[in-house]
Amino acid sequence: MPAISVLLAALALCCICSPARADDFFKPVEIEDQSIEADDNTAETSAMNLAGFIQQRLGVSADDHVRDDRSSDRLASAKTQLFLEADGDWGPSIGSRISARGEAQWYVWDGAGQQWDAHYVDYDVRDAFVDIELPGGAWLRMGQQPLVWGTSEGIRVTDILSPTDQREIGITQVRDIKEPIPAIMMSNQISQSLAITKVIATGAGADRQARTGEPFDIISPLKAGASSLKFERPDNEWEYALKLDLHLNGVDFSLIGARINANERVAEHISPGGALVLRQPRQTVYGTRISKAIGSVLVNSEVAWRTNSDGPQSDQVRGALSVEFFGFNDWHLTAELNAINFRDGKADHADSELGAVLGIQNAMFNQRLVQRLTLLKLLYGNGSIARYDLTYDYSDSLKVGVIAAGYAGADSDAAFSSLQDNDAVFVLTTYYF
Amino acid sequence: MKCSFKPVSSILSGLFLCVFVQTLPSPSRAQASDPEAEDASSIMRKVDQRYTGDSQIADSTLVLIDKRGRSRTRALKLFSLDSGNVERSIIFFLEPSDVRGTSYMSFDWEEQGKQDESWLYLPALKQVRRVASSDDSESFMGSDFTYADINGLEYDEFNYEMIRISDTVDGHDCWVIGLKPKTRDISDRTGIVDAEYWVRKDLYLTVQAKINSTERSRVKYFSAGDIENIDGVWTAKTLQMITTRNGKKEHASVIKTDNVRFNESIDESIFSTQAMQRGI
Repeated sequence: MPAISVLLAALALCCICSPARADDFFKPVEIEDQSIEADDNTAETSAMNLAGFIQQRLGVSADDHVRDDRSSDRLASAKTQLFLEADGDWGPSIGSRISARGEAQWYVWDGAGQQWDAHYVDYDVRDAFVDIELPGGAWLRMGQQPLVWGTSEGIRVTDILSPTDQREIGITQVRDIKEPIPAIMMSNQISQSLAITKVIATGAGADRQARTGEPFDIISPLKAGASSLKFERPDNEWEYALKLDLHLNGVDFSLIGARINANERVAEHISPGGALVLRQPRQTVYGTRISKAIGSVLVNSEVAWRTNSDGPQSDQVRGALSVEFFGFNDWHLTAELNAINFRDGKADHADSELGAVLGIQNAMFNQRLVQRLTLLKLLYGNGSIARYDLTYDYSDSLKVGVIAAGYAGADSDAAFSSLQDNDAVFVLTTYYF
Repeated sequence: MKCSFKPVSSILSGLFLCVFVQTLPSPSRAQASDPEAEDASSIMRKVDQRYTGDSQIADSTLVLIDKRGRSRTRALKLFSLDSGNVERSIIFFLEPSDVRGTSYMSFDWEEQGKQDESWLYLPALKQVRRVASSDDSESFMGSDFTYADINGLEYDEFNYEMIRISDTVDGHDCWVIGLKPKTRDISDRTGIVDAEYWVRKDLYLTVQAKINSTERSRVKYFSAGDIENIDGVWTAKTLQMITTRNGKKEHASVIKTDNVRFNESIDESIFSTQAMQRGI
């Protein structure tokens, strides 16, 4: 009997304790106050804030051709990237940013064997601009800066200013895709819902391509019978763009008009010396972009008319329609259809080209781990790219990640031929400071 | 009129800075009615209608702690402005370096039927993107707080019942009030199956909440601490949300707020997509 009494008493105690134990979750969680205060002070009081990261990337080829050629060695690349950024706060209305990036490729396959060496070292200034807030809601940014206007992933419709880095199509991380350009940008907030942005740029350059003979060299195959390639600078380096942004009744609406040098170089003619001349066509662009949230769905659409003022290229209408779905917790689904229609049939390709993008993103462990699968049906030809990337935040400073990219398409597809042997898996380790 | 209910307290009129009550002399106003006689709905209406200042500025730190005790820390700068027909708020992420430059802006419209709006600027994309505003049950920047906690809930979308007329939290007498979404859609959108709120009787202030989440087997525990009267507004300088699964702690988020200022003049141009890109 005493044993039963003790057992009953214990059970009763458990019953009493169970709900009480849940209340323990109301107790304050211990955190390191010192580090928080230090962070706050740093953020608030420093006139200059220095940050950056160093990233090591190792890539292994997953392509059958590479396996056959190299027997056992499948290492595709070993690359180190260092990024430094300094933000200056020089008063209530003046700020600045300067950032620079260095990259070293440590590994190259020369056709006979592996070579560990500093195959190339690239370094470039990314951002270098001054921000000035002017009276009346005006904002002036002068210097080297990224200018990104469009929303589409598979095509540039209203995104007409910053070129893209195409040295590793399908692998480049989002932060590195857009190239900064030398420009003066003035944005006037006319009212709470209306803003006008004006841009003058010069020497913005074209999309950045891989070196001749490297993987992802999509330019050399265009050479065909020509003796060499020649990149001609535009006759007029100055570019002008105007954008009107309106937020009204749950809709973001943009109108753009611009006179630019297209970021895509096109083959123009064979020079007397036999070289294929590539140039950025001079274009006039008018476009519109609309974003509207309807419940869990975000709809983005873009349309732009591009008129060429010189060269043999066709005038174009470009468009994209995307739907983003946020209805499932921690999931983000994207579907995009995009198209180009060539208006006068001067180009040597179909009158219209269609592309598509499907994206599935999932976040886990309070966004400590984020993974995304992107399927891209390319414009021009029948090529497609599948990309998977995963990032895991081990801490605020240390992140590890994986990128896997696969390329599918017909061997005879000239636009795709330089991509198809680049199936690879990359492991990335990034340390932020 | 649409009411933006702040059960756990919403951003700047609530979440990060403060679990507000009416401006002084709110305690005496509370004393004017008989606490024992009030019903749950009218109590929560008073919680919702608290004066939270016309504008607020604060520096906050968001700490994310996983079940192994590993923490990630985000330093934030927050602004909000209530213009009568709309409550606008913007958050700038200052630290750590991989999220520095990120900003989130929301417009909470008072007009009936007008959908709240929000935008996100991610430095990697170098572009402001509109966010579908109905994904309120999503985690806010990896924290245990959801966008519903950030943006506030609609008072009219919930039923209320008195669970206990008296319970003590940190020595203060509280009502314990049950809350349940009126429809399944509301539950799905807010991520709340049902919840219990501990509301301080002297301040009409939610100091604890137990939230049964729509995420399977998960229960969330909210608590507010370091409550001070700042510029006439009662402010909880520490807010905490713990997510549990099957009775075990899964993740915790703590928001510590310093340098809170109310009713300071704020340049309205800061509530723009332009300012999100520019940063502070």
